[in-house]
Amino acid sequence: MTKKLKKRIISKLELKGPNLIKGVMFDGLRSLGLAHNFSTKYYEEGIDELIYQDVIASLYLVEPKYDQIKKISNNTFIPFTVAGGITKLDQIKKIFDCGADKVAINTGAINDVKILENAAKEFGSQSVVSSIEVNSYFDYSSNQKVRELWIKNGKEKTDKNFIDWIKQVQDLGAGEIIITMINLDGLGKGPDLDIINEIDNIVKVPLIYSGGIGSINDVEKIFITTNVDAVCAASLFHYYYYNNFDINPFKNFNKLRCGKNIDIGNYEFINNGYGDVKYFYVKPASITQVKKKLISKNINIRVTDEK
Amino acid sequence: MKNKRVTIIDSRVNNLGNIVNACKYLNADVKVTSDIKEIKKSDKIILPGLGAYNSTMNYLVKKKLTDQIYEHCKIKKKYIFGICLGMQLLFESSDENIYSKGLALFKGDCKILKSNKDNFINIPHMGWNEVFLNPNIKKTKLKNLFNKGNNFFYFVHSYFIKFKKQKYISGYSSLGLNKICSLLESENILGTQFHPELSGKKGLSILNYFLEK
Repeated sequence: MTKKLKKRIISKLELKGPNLIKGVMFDGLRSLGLAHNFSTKYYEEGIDELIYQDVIASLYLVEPKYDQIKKISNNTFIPFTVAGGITKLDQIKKIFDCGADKVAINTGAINDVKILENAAKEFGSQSVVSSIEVNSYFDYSSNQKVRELWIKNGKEKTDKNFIDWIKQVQDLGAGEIIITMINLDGLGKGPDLDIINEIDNIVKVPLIYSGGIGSINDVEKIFITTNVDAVCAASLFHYYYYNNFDINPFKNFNKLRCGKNIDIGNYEFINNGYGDVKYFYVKPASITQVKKKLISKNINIRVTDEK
Repeated sequence: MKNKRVTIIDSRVNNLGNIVNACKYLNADVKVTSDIKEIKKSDKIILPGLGAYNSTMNYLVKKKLTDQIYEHCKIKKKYIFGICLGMQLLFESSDENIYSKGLALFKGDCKILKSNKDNFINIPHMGWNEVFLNPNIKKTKLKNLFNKGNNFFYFVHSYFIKFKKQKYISGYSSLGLNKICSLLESENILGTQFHPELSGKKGLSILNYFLEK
């Protein structure tokens, strides 16, 4: 559905404790540094929005990390969405008091749909985002693409129907939808354009796409070929700005190979790759580079001051 | 350094965290209150946004703040900054939920955003939009904060004030069929439909302009 809005470039900060992490298919997490360093940098470089995703909160049923949320929101003055482990209204209230603007809910909503409805009533649908984590594969026996909904940051499969759920969350009052492709996450092999086009006529609220974006061309392609409202990228920016902080094991790799040892995070994974995956096809880019390219293609985005 | 002090009116808005943060980031001395005595003492007040028109108005009436705000801006000529709903409240009325009267410092009413098939807008409208300066604008320092082509700010709203060629309306935005009053300045009164506290550096520069007045 064509909507008269500026297209947005969002960065997703996945957190485990205070660390910014990036995984592959929501697994094999690598720690890249402290999250608040990245968020401040992204804000200064002109990102349009930030999404904070606590990757373990839903799995271990822990409270959102309010201090951590505050640390990020205190230095960033752009829309800020918090996700991970949200099940109650008073948690949402506290998150907003910490300076967040929106909450995104997946596990909490699948377990109890009322949380979306009540949150939308209490805080307005503009501040409630439905987060949907999709695992997609081609099933040769039925000869069609399967779309599964997963919860707990890609740890548990549900039997919900993808299309029905998208309709339902909108009826419940979600003001925005973010879909994340688990099967493409962290690989940088490109987005799943089909899924966006499949749901185009049933999504009436702004749609954010996340998963598999590995280059400037991917961002461009997604805006040109689909009606998506926002693109959410992680690896694309993380590996570019990683240079600015701490040590940088990826510095000399054109193709992002799982490089040298670093003293934080998952060693084995970095040295040996993830399963069959030995290379990540991410071509890191700065926020300015992405925006420049999009402007040259006449895509309707927010322009920020040149440095 | 100038001592920047500001009082934010606590209109029971859910999300004051951001505006408080932003003021503190700009080294301002911030107080959040709905106590009339405190508000009487302050030279600068911010009327923040988000929330429903009629319930916020009712709350201000209940706290006896409507007359106080009128006195603050119109008689004492002290500074006020209305953000989003806070700016809409400065006008005469709104149809949001049920018809309700505003503070009526300016002429104009608040209407719901129009959209049709070709110009579809989600309501509430959330997102970045460009602000254009009114060519009839009086020359103020505010104008210096704007430069060519990249005046983008973050909006969250369902209702808007129509842009007609009033001189105090300094900036407008277009959204599909709607021409929105997005920035107004009249002597001591400043108002924005967008959220300066969510609009990146550009937004902070507007907020700082008010704090340094």
